[in-house]
Amino acid sequence: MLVLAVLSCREANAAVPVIAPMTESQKQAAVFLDALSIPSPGEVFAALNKSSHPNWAALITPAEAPLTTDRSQLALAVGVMAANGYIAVEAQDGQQVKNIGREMMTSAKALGVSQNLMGRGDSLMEFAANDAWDSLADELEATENEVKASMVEQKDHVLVTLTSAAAWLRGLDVATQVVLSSETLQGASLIRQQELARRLSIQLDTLPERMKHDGLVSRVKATLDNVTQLLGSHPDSIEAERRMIQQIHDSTSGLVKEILSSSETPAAAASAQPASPPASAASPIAAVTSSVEPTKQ
Amino acid sequence: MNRSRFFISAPGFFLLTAGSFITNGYVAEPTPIVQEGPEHQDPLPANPAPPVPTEARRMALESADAFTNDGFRIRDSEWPFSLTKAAPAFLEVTLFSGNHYWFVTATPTAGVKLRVTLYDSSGHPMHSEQWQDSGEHGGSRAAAGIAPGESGNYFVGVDLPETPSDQPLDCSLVSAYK
Repeated sequence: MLVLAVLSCREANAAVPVIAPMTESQKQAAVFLDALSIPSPGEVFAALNKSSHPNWAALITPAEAPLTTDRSQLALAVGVMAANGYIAVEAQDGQQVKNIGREMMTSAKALGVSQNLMGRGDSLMEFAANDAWDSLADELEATENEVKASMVEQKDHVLVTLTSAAAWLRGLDVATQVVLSSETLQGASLIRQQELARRLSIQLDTLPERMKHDGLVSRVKATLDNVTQLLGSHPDSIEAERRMIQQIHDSTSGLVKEILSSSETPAAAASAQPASPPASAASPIAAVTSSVEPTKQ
Repeated sequence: MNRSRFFISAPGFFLLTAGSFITNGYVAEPTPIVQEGPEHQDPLPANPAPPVPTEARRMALESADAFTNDGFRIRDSEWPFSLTKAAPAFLEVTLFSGNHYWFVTATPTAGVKLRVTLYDSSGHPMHSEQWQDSGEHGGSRAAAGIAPGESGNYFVGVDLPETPSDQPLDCSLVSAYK
């Protein structure tokens, strides 16, 4: 309260900082923080809303967590589903948000990090039921962060990198789809995030050798490298730019499909669930059927 | 070289109040469950309590919360860091044209002047909206706002133009966008 009155922006004013440029060593030493340096899908989509007015309902994809016990894939799936949740929020599709929330819990449970998350799942359901879209977007980011925090608690820090990379790649997948639907490639500047793609790729280099050579993880790395290279190109015509964006889209959308594809039978995946689910996991985990059919574009 | 520094913030931004957690503007009461058996009669929280936020984080969120009235969404994360006059701190961020951002920092230490500066990808300082508190509410806070013309890589810098001591200060930075 006290500060809010002060911070009514009356004191804010445009100013020209008389400040020296950063030194090279300061740039090199700048902190790269997973939770703030990587934009949330909500940030990307907010910018897309202003440039392109996407038809979000058409961008929704079915909410189904992969049936797998591969921890790398599950971590990647959490990132993709978090991004999908933002799409459902933008589309104001409450049922889809509920489905995605439930599937995120499924993946979190398979990762063994769901103990702290059941309250989040309940909140997602409640907000979706009440069409509280702003709260839902906040809750999705909080849920993703809580999954990551649980991974860290369980000494699975490396999985955080995969979740962040997957969320960003799904955001890029959607952004390129939206841009390609415009004849003039409106919003194309939003996908110019070469430095971020490069940084995420470098982070994957720090994964343990065994995980790095996992088929899916190595394809994530290859996709990031490919995207980094494509974003570094300078197309000299709108046609060339469209081809470049199409290549990025093909690369990211193929990877997202692979992340969400099941590698195991339902029985095998179920038998690999933690033996004693948390007391708060009252609701049965069941396959969820999307209420919205995917739209092929 | 801090190139590989990689933090995970505490989940949500929680303001601990009278037994309730406030996250992003809504209140969620911790759900008690009771375990059976004579040795477990006390109610236990179903969700373990999240880490209590630092005072710096609480102050930064309190200041940033003012922006939500103007349609800004606060990111569910913070950058906790230590700051001295001799060593400004820098954070790398990706910003999008069309969006408007505010970066808010705070320290519980009173009598110092914090400053937030935004730099482009090559490290040159940029024009930004500036805000600093008057210091009358305890601690010190500052913020910078920007609506970037181009999407891309930027840096957020925090420094201490005025401080009576060389002691490191506990600071926190949060961001908001719309």
